[in-house]
Amino acid sequence: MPASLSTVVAPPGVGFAGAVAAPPGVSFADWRDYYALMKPRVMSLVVFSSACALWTAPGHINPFLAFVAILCVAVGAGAAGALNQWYEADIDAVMKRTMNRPLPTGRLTAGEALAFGITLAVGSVAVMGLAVGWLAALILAVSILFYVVIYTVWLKRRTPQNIVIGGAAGAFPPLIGWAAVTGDVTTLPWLMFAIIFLWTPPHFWALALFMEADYAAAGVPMLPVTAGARATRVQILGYALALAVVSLLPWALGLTGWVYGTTAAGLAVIFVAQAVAVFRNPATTAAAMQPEKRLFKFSLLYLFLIFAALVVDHLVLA
Amino acid sequence: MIEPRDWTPAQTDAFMRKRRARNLAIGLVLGFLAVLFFGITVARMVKL
Repeated sequence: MPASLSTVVAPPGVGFAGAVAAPPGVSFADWRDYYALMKPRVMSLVVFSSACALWTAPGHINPFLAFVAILCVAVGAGAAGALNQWYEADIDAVMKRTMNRPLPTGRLTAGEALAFGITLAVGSVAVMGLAVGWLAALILAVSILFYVVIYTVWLKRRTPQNIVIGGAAGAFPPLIGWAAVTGDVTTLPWLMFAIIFLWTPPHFWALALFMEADYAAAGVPMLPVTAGARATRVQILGYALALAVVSLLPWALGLTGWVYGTTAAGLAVIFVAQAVAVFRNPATTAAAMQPEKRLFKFSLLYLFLIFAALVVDHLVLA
Repeated sequence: MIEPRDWTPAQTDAFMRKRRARNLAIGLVLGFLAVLFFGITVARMVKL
């Protein structure tokens, strides 16, 4: 835990939902605070990508065990989110986007968040192993550890490449979904992994460009803070081109059909076009960064659509 | 830390309300886990 976390306390009169101030040192948290600790919006993307892989994988899984596998992925992602918020409460307290989270506002104590995160992490991995399979459980454990230890603790505060290497943590869910059905991991799930891995930098750097002041104030070495907007825009375009190529590989290798191929090609053209618009934008103020905001929003839609295309393609081929 | 006996009535009310909500949530989670483990047991025994 960072030393400065101990200084993050709820100011008098603030700190929990409702009009009454909690006495110092007392938690008045309710279930909504624990739910917010699990980063539900991030969880939805993780659940969706693992569910798509589970659906696309060859073979059969009992529908109830499929539900359990998805539940474990969701809870595991929630655990990683809770442990991330436990460690980063000092950063969250100074960033506008995150200052209302349960820890910076004092609605939850650091100890409660840590215990909650560890319980969810151990529980999700154990249930995944016992109910679904130990390969899926192992990948789930690695993804939680990767996000918490490699990304949150080690990389985020040290290097502008934090999001590149740390992005692997968010790319594990398709491997888990696939392994839950087949018990192994083949080429297609690794390509799904690569798609999310290459999608993460342009997605987060687009956000970091128009939120640069926030990251700078928090001392997080995101690329726009350390290398400037120009270098970040070049990197975004490079990753967008790499993503376009890799997203077509499942079709080029004959692992998917025309539904996925045409969808991936169309999405790749739009993604690269948006990245080119970002590349050509000379703006230095957040208000003038409309192409960056458009790319950030589109990148979310992109990931949902490309994974949905995998499922539709699988259904059409079947 | 202020002792509970020194809390204001409003703080005591708020604490009791939050504690009730937390207890209810824990009860629901435990019930869900019981159903989940039963379902896993059945699913592992039968082939669908």
